[in-house]
Amino acid sequence: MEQRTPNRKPAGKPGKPSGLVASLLRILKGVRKEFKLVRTDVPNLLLALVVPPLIIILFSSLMTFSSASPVVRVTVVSYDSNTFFDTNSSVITTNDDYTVPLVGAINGTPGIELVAYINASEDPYAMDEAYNQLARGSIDAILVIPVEFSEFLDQGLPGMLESVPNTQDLLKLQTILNKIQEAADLFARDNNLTPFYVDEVHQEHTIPARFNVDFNNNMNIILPFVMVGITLVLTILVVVQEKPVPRLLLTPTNKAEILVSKYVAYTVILLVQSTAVLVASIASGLFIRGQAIDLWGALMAIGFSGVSIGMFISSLAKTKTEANQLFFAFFIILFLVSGIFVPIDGMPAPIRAIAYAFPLAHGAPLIDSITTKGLPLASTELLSLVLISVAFVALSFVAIARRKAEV
Amino acid sequence: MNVSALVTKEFQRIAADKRTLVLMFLIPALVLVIFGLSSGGGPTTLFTVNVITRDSQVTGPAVNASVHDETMIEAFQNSTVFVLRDGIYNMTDDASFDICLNQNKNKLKHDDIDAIIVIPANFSEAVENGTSDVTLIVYVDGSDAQVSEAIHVAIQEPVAYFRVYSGLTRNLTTVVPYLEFDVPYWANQVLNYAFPIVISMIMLGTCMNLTSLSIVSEAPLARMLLTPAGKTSVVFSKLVTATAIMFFQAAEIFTIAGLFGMFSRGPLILVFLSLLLIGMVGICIGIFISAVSKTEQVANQLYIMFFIMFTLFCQSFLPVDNFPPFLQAITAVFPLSNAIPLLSSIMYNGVVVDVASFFVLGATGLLFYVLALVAYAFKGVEA
Repeated sequence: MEQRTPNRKPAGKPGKPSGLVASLLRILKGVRKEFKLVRTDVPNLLLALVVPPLIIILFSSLMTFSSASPVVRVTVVSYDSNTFFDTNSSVITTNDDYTVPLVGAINGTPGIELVAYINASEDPYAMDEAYNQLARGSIDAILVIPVEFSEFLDQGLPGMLESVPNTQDLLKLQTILNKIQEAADLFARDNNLTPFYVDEVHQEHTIPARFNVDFNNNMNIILPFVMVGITLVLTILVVVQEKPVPRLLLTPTNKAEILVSKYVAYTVILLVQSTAVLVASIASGLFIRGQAIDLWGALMAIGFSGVSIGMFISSLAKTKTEANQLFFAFFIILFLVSGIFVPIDGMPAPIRAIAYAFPLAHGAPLIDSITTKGLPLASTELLSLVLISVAFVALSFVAIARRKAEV
Repeated sequence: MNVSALVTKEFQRIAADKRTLVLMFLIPALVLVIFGLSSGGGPTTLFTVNVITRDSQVTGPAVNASVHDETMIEAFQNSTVFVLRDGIYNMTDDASFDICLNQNKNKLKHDDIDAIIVIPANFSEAVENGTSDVTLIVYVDGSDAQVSEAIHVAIQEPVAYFRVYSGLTRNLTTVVPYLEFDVPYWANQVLNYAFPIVISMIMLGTCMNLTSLSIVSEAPLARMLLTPAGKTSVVFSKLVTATAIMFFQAAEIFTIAGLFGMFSRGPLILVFLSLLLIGMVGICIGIFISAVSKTEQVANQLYIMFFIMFTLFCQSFLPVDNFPPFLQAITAVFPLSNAIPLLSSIMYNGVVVDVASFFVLGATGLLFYVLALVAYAFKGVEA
């Protein structure tokens, strides 16, 4: 049998504090109770305070282990020595003067592995062969030298190379294009194909050379992910696992006070957690152009949004299993719209709206703005995080108010 | 007791747990509908830039050409990779240029733009000269790895346009990329680019969830073992039941994705079979978790831990190329590290089967199933 427990404030007893003071005292006792619970739950305590800095340190040591850039495997298919018929002059040529220098440039470009060179004049199935290599994943790109390449360069016309990169791994696509362009630049330089059109790139807000660039670039994603992930895992069971809710509700403590005490307790834990993460990050070589205190504030804001979502899940779920299932559902959506796989700017409007309703979309830019650009904490990203947290806090209070007390 | 009776019992148990079933069938449907209804977007973004030209600035007493900067600006305006955010800034003296540059650097700092393109004062002179380097100055946000890595290749396009517009094609060597195995423009880009990652994660996660409590939550184990049912039969019946449910989940995913325009270069049947394989691996891992866990709480925590670990190290998220070789080897056998290439090789490349991924996934499933049998064999029977 289930019954709804009235969620009204108990009347104060004579000689005892009443009203707001009594409520605050009850919350304080609730906070103490929460800390006792946390202290007895050693695995959760480890998860809260040891695992986050450990992840940062582990990640840092992994990133410093090796920073070898990936090798791009290329097969060159040359049609350059095929017969070229110039429709303007009716001259037939088989000029391929620039093929060997180009292949040499590809061979000489660091980070490119020339897997095969196939002369299509000798092998009519050259492109099929290269295409199969690409489809099977044994190369990352095909570079095609067209039939008119050498003739055009000789005549002062554009020499157009065709690159066919594999787009299966979108994360590697830019690297492939960069390497092929690097080879083309080297070819032009080696063969004095002047004038050169140079882009003189000045990088602003770069990470100083003494810091690990890979580690620092990835920390913008890792830090929000760790903060939200750990606080979520930490809090998804805090309400739902409380068996003595009926007994608690016989005390003057009401549901809102129970939830407030949990929020206070886990915010205090979050304070320690954020500090530990900040210290571990700095010790691991995180470059902070802005203020460390701002970064700490950002970690707090991101972590609290995780706490609020976790509390909401815990207040909503009826069983621990259900809480875990809801966690999974939230985690999937959080992860998919975080901008890790598809840039948020590249998402269609409806998905972008969903992405901005979750903390990871704001966490990474906020941390980036503080660490690399030296901007202050106060920003629209912080405001968004606060609004998200407020919304989930409100939802968690609604959920717990509607919660039936088991008998 | 034969296996069919155990399977019937398992179906009854799962049918009673309606929330798990809802999760299994609702999450993929929801995600596919969201991604399926979205049009536009995709994995690429354009560079938002501001252009400052100093070409009109007097560079010396003898020559002062400024005929080519407008063509260069036109090339940027017609570019398919650059978007000009503000108007063109034409600066004719050093002081105003410095102010303008600082204002734009501030925009760069606040992520309003991705880069500042400066056409230098001697641009037209260098073009006219014909032998010296023609330089464009580019300020990029060095903290944005994606922009700073891509800017050099991206700028080749407006430079090539400029040379064509100006008839300066002599010695122009350019690389034109033709993206192979991409999702065609007419297919749903968002859904199809997301499919291998999203669906692999959902299949693995929900199937792990389906079975991660299947053994540990069974209180009457002792009583069951008084019946003729052996432990192997008990585990096998769970595998069969979960597989049957997973089959319907895969069919649901396949149908909804098909309705929203799933694109596959390879045979569709292989996409479906891959989904089943990924689901099977999830089921086996879930059974293993359930077999080694002493309480439901431990099972839930292990499930979350395994899932996060598989997701983080799936080789599509963190740069595993920078990891030490032993860790690369470990992550290479994680389920998602193989599930995503398996699906994408069929869907994008049209490869019949990525043999390595197929065997690693199959072996992973089998290994976890055997480990589950071993763990269950040693599991203490409560009195």
